[in-house]
Amino acid sequence: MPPQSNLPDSRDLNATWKFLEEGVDHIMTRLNEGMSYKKYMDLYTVSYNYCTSSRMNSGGINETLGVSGSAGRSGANLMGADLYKHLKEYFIEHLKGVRAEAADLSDEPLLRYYTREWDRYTTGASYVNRLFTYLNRHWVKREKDEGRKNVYVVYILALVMWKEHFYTALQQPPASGGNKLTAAVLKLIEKQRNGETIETDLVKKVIDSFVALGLDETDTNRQNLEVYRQAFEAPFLSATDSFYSAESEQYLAANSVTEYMKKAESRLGEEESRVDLYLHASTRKGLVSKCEEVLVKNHAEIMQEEFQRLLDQEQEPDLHRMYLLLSRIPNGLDPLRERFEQHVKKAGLDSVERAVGAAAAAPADGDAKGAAAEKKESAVEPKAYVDSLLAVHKKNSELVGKAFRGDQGFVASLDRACREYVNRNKACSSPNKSPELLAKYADSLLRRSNKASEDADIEQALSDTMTVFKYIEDKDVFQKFYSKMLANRLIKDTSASEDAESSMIGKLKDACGFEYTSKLQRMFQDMQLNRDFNAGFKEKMQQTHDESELSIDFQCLVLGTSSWPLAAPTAKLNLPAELLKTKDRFEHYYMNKHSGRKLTWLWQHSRNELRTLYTPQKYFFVTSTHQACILLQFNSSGDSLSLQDLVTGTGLPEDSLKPILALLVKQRVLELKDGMYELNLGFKSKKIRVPLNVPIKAEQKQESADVMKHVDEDRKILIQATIVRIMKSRKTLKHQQLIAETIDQLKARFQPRVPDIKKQIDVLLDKEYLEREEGSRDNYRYLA
Amino acid sequence: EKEKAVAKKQSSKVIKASKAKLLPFEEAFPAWFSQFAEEGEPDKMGGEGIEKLFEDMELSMEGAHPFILAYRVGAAPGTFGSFSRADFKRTFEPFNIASSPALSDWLAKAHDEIMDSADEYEFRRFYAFVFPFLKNEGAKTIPGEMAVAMWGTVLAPKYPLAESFVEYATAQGEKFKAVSLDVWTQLLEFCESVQPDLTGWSEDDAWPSTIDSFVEWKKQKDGSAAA
Repeated sequence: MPPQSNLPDSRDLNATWKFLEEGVDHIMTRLNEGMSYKKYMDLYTVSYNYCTSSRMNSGGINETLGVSGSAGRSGANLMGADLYKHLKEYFIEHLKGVRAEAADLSDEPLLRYYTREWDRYTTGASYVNRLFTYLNRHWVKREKDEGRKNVYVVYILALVMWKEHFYTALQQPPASGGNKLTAAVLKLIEKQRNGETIETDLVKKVIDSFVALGLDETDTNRQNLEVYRQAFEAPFLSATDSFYSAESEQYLAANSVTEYMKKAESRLGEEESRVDLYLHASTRKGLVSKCEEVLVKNHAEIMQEEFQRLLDQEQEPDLHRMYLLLSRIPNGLDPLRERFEQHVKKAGLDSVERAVGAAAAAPADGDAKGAAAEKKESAVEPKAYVDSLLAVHKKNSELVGKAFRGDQGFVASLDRACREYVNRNKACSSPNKSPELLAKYADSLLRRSNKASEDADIEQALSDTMTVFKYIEDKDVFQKFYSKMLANRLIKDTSASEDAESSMIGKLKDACGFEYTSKLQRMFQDMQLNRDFNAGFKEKMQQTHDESELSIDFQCLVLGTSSWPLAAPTAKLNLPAELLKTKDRFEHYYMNKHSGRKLTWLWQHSRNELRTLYTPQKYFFVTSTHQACILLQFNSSGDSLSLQDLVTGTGLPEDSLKPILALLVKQRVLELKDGMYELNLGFKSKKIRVPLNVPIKAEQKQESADVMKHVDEDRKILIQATIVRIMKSRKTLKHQQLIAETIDQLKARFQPRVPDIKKQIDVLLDKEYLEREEGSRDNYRYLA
Repeated sequence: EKEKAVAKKQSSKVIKASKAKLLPFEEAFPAWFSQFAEEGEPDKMGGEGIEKLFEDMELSMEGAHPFILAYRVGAAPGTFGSFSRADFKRTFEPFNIASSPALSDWLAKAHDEIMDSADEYEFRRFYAFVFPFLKNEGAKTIPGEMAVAMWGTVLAPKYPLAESFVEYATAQGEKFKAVSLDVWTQLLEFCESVQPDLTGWSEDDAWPSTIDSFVEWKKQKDGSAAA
């Protein structure tokens, strides 16, 4: 084989190594000069030949060469130990030179040198590694298989040597007392943190070398970050700690908290991008949490203290920044949420107080209608009140959405605060005032007189009403007032729009369920039925009666007792003959259609129109039925009547009669002369239609009180029903649990007080729905 | 006819106890009872008769004695204000008690056993007996006034809290309405388990609201007294 003649004999170790060493050194030190393919192949061949020579030679030579004697342990003789040893020695020798050159270097020059050498060394080593592929595959493999430590494939051997004979020396110069290399890297990073431009490549390469040098003894393929962690990460994090501790202290001393937050925010961003730039990805978590600790947690208190000022000044971007910063640390937002709750509550209370104050001031300038004294109680206009509630909610709900990203905790704080100020504030002399005012507001929206005539406006205003409604604790009180006012709108035909009405009922139904609005819906159904029924009645009358008998235009609403919040009149009333006939006809007609039902006439809610024939100008008086009955007395019994005459005539008791008469006198329809009531024959008015049926003040107040009485009665029943329902399913229950469950089931409707629940338990014990379990004082048993 | 004669003789004169003892029960009892029996209803002792009996026994009607007597003779529910001859006879025959002085002694002993004994059991049974005894048939409650008087007689001597409660109920006047069995029963529980300074009471406990109201009243009173 002619080509082989140039190459050393594979049996001659010295010649072989001499040949190989020259090649290895070329690759390691002068690769930039290039190497011919032939040369490379020769080197490869020599290394191959040597390693395979064992099979051609007798075992004798092998024995002398088996340094460790390990070859003897296995059956097959593999050559390589000497080669390996020589290679190792070569690397050690080579690195001596590298180390010597680095001795006087530090900082950036050191880094530059280190990275250059690292590049050169690792590139060379990878070529050398390939030269010794056969060695790696056989001798090294077998050594490792047999469990021998400290034998590596050639590339890894090179790295191990680098670590032991260069890196370690570099990192532990006893004189300078620190890790020279690490110190240099950290110094460079600090420079960057201080705003200088640095060669980030230097940092990245050094760090890559740290990662590469993390060699796993047992499995070289596995990444081991031991070196990176020890040599770099730990000192880096501690440097980060001290850098930012110092910086944040200094910055805060010289700048406002808001400025500091901007700084902290940008610092956190920088550090995160630093990871991508040149750190190992595993450091991200540690670095970020270190920065959060130093930049945010250590200054959390001062930021939290700033919160109130930012809220007061409505600094939305700063609030947002503070939210983002403090959301990074555990429980960082808790104090903010608490303070926010207090803030909203106070804002709400203040807002209502302003509205109350404005209302109190208003009647002072001028229009003293004698209302000032009475204003004390219901000082606030429903609209002003609801607006004052909504303004605070709207503003802060927007703030939560924008600055606090709709954070659930802040939403909860907002809800708690709103619930508090909506139910308990300056305008609420009693706990029922808020639902009453809200119901009145809704009434004003839905009545025809309402100015916000655009449908979209009304819809918005109704939605706003629901916003407040959500926070109302005593939803049952609202329901009572609402149904009362709805009844009024329907009876007096003052409802602005059926669409708006049903939209509102739909909203209430969505919020509280079918049961809450079922009566309201039935009221609407009654109205529909009445339209048809009245038409039918009219038609029938025209068929069966002569025109002259039907001088009165009559319309009647038949309303189901169970759905309408209307009470039967307490006082008896003698209908005048003019009306009586029609009433009887209607009753007759109705009973024919629906036998077995009972009609109760609610005169206090009906309305009459009378035409004056005694005045020069003919007027229409719009009156209540009571007024009509009084006035019609003058038709039959003369122009001058005593109180007693009227009592006899109308059947009304004196007490009810007097205020009605007083009103008629005040309206100048009647005149009081020497204790006798006389028709004012000279009555004058600018209007042809004169509305006389204005409600009497005392009645209005009475109404509110009545509503509350009803609410209380309903609550008792509701509490009892709830207790019975709970006990029915549980059979026996502890007192405290029963109370808790009852509250839980009722709180959507109203906030039951514990003493009220207890009273109902008393009642149920007395009624023997429940009994106390024998031998245990606070256990109840349900008695079926 | 003979019985009547004896009764007349006995009622007309003060009879010494020693003399009455000489007669066997079957003879002495009818004569003794008939002194107090309602006119026309020889098997029943009415209000006047009871008053007379207590006068005879030289005991006050005000204290717990009449109720202890009712309890011990096993008076039927709702029979407050009268005693039945059958109850007396059944109860006293074994003890051979057929005279006022004898009954007086016996009743004093019963009073001690119930009111002053360390054994709460007998007292609890007695207390439980009183409510149905006072209650009219068909009614669920007893009038407040009656209950308050009863507590004053029966509970207040034993428990300082009951004394306060009576004071509270009296102060309520008209507002203190009928008393239910539950309030009646629980008040004893309350007196037994809560200290006079109200330690042991909690608003979370299952006391009837009447008792809670009392506690509130007492706290306010004690508070203003301390201030």
